[in-house]
Amino acid sequence: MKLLRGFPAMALSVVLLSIVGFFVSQESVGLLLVCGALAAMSWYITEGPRGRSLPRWTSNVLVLAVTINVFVDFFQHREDVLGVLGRFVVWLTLIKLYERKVSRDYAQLLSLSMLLMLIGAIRPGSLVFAAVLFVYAALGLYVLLLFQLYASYERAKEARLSSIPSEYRLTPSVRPIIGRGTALQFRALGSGIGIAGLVLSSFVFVIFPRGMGECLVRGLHVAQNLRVSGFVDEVNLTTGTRITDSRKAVLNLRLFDKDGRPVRFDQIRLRGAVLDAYESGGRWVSSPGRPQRVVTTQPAQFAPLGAVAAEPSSLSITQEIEMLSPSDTLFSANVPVSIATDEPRQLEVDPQTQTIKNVGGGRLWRYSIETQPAPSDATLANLAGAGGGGGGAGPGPSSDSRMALFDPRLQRLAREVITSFGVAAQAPREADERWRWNREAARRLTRHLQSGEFTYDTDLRDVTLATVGGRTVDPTVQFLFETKRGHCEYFASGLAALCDSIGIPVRLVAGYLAMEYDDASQQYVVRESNAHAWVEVQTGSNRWTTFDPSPPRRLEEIHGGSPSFADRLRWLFDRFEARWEVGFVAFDQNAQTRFVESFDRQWSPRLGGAWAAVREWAAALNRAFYLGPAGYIWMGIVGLALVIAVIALVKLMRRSLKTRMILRLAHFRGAEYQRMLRQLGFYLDMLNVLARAKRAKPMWQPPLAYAADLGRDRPRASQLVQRITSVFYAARYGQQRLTRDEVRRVGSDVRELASALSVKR
Amino acid sequence: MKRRYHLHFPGLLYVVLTVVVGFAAINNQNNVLFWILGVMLSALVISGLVSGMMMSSLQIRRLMPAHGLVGEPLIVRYALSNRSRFFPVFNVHIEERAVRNRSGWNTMMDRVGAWVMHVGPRDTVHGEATFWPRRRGKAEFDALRIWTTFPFGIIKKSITITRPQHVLIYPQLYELRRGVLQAVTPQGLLGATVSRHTGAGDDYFGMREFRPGDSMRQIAWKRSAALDQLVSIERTTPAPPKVRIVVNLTRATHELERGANADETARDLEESAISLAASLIQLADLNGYEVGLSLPGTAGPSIQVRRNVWHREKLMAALASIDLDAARKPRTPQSTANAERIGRVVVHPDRVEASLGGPNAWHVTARQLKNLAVRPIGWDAARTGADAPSDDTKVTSKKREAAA
Repeated sequence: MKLLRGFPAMALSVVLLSIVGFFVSQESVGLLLVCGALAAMSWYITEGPRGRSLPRWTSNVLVLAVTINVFVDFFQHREDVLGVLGRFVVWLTLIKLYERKVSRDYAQLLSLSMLLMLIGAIRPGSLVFAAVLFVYAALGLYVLLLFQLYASYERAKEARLSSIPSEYRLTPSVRPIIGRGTALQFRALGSGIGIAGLVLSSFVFVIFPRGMGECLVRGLHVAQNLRVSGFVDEVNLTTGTRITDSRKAVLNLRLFDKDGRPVRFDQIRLRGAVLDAYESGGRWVSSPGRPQRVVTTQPAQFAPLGAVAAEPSSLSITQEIEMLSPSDTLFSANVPVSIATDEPRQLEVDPQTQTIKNVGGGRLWRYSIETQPAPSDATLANLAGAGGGGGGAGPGPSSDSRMALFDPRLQRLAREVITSFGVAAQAPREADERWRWNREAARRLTRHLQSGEFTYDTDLRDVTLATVGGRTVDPTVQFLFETKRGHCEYFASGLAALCDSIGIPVRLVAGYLAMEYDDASQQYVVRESNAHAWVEVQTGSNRWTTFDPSPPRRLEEIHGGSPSFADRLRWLFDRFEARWEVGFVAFDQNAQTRFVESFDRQWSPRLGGAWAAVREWAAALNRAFYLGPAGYIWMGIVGLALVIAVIALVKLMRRSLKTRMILRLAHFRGAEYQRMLRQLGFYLDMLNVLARAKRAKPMWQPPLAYAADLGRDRPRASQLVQRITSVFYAARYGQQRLTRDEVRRVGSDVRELASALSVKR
Repeated sequence: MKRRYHLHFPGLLYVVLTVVVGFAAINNQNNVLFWILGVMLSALVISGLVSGMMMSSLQIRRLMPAHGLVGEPLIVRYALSNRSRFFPVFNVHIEERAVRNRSGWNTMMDRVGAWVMHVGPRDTVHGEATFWPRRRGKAEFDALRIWTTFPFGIIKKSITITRPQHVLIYPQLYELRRGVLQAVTPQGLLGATVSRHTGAGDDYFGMREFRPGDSMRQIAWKRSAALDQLVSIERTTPAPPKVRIVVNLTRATHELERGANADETARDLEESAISLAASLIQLADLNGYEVGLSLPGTAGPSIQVRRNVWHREKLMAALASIDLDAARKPRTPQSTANAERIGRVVVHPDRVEASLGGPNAWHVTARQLKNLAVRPIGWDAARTGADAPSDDTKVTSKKREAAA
């Protein structure tokens, strides 16, 4: 009863958890506080000392009002159907919480709570939601089990009470009928079911095929990742007006110096794609048709990326990258000079941009790249190949604009900015001076963009592209002169546009900014939220210098960490969240493949090794006893005999245990016990025969009474059972020792019984 | 024994929901949904396995009471034994399957199935089902079904076991008016009689030699002194008043005269007559009378005038077993021996036939039951009938529950 009394409180906890879970998935703290408080209050109001509940008519009116509200809500938030549905379910749940509750109401409440969690789960799962879901699943299981008992009890009680005629004065008992140790056994069974469920669900989770059937119904497809942060090898400023962080880990990066010691920097820019062509409308792409160099790699061997091997440098750094999410683009910090992969691969290297792509097929999970932070001109020339130069700029400085931007304001602004910092407005003619001017001008323009006049913002949903004279204003121009708000791609495009307007060769680089260093594993964890864009300006015939116009403080906030206590907590949380996302949320077809491969890698050698060891041991044994070729046959026979012996022993032990239990021989000891075990097996055989004939003797029925029952349709079998039973009684209770003949006779009776009941022995 | 899995409505709903979740998971490639799908599929499998395991380890016995009584609940107990060594059994419902013949229990009573919340491993628990008999007769039970939806209510697993048994339902009893018994028995005029046997009465019977164990008070001292040996006085046994109840069922049902009351059927009259006879037997027995029973017109035996518990059960069983649909037998001459010492009460269904029961017999008709009875014992099955309990009943039940 105590078990059942706790049910309403447990049910309320589950409902509360589902409300919390839903609002966590919605990231709506305000509604969580309001609805959570209302739900919690319902306990005191309905179940408290002066418990009151809503009359049915009131709750019906409220349900009607909520239903009308859901339509209004839907028309206001058409894009958020799940949110609308979820809020509707929350209101329904709250109304039900304030109603008088019988088992049917509890069933509805639990169903609503389940629906809430399902709606919450359709949204991208955060770690907090996952934690709530896990607790909900555990508690929900317990409550569900309890509900079965509670509902049945309520139903039984109601049925019994309502069946009593009104004039009948005595009321039969309505207490539940229970055995001993109910609560303990219930919890133990619940735990067992929970563990079995966890194992089975994990199994289903792992083996369920992924990557097929996505977007079967587009209308119902909820983008798994509404967060658009992440690496792309082209940039379009007009898409993705809101960038939200995806904490999905992309790769792990380790850096080593020349001597193999781990190296750590504040931030590492991993170059992925170099985009050197800007099309009007805010789209950056790689200019096509550039010559590529094909490099074939071998495991653990560094292959040079240049025409010949790069000359060694004392500052060279080796980066080891472990891809967590596969990509054909290889990332490298600084200038890559050689590469090694964990499996043979065919790579394509762009000599002008030093970007690398995997083109030979097959996924690349690990690779190492040797880079040089400050490469010499010779190294750069080697990498660029014979006659290679700065993209389309040629071997010397060029003032041709490569960006399709024709706004005179750009050049005016750029000149104003650089002259305000004391840099000449016009580029010098002499090459070296020109490269230096390029660097200085780019630096001043970068500082201008970081000056505070421009705001770093990832939510640009309120920004719309203006039109002037029927033509849409370029987003970069709008950013520079009107909105002055944007994210890294806007800042990079703005700097590129300004540089380009005064003839500085410039290109946009897309990649990752690695700032999150994990001290424990001594590696950078790079996530999709670390995706970044910056600019490279040509400052030498083959040299390009990096300029990042995004405000460094904002970058630090977004990509890095701070040492405060709260941030440390945040870091801890992030670690858990990263594990959750990498291990669970990002578990896809590739992860399945990796899982199977790792399983295979781990177990195949072990099993193979064990088999080899057995064979070796057998061979050694054969040699030791000079058994010759026939020795293996003998060993096989001995092994088989051992197996049979073990099986027989187990069967014998089980039989004696069963005999001991059924014949109640627990208080017999020594020879008498052995005699009983030896002689009374026939009774057990008889019971087995009866069970196999589907005429099992009930435990409660004495054998002779059972025989009498059996005699109604099987007289011969009944006689045999009586005869066997009388022998059994004599031996078991009459202290009579059976002779061999008697044992043989009763054995034949059992066989006859089997044939009488058509049981094959 | 028949085992079955039923996919009832909640289970069907669950399967549909699982399919929907599976579709959503595939459509969105959402891993949380994939996991929930895994949980739901596991729940389906576990539900089937656990309920199947529980059912297979159960044994059941029906413990039928000796008899039932119209107007009183008939409590049938079920001994549920869990043979499993480790696994408990939860949430077991037991219900009787309807019997398709005229004497099936379902034709004569309503029932509320039994429910057992928990049976531990190697434990035996008694569940009880309440039946509410509406009419007398032999109630046959055949198969019973035990089922459970534990653990998740998704799959219903049932086992049907055939266990034929029967129970006699005695007629409805009424509390009769004070003095009815004295009015119909001859004791009032003739006074109490004594038997011709020795016993523990007050009257003198005779003398005999003293036997060890005789009370000192029994010793006739004067006579002992005269004979010079101990002599004990023997007393007579007081003979209790005797009554024979005769239920006149000589005429077939369709030959009976129905009264002005349109609702009253001929069969009702016969049943009322049987109830009145049973009530008289009950009252007489309680008052220390020796009671006999004659059932002219039926195959039932004429039962001698006796008094003990078993005898009363015999009389009641005879009344319960009367088959009113059977062909009536011709009237046989009734013995009038000891007519002056055994009162006779003849109960007629519709009208008095004075020729039955002898000259001193009292004749009553079933219609007189209203006047003779104060109220029914238990609930009035005739009035309540087989109707489902009304809302008032439910409210009363709730009040009772609250009061409890």
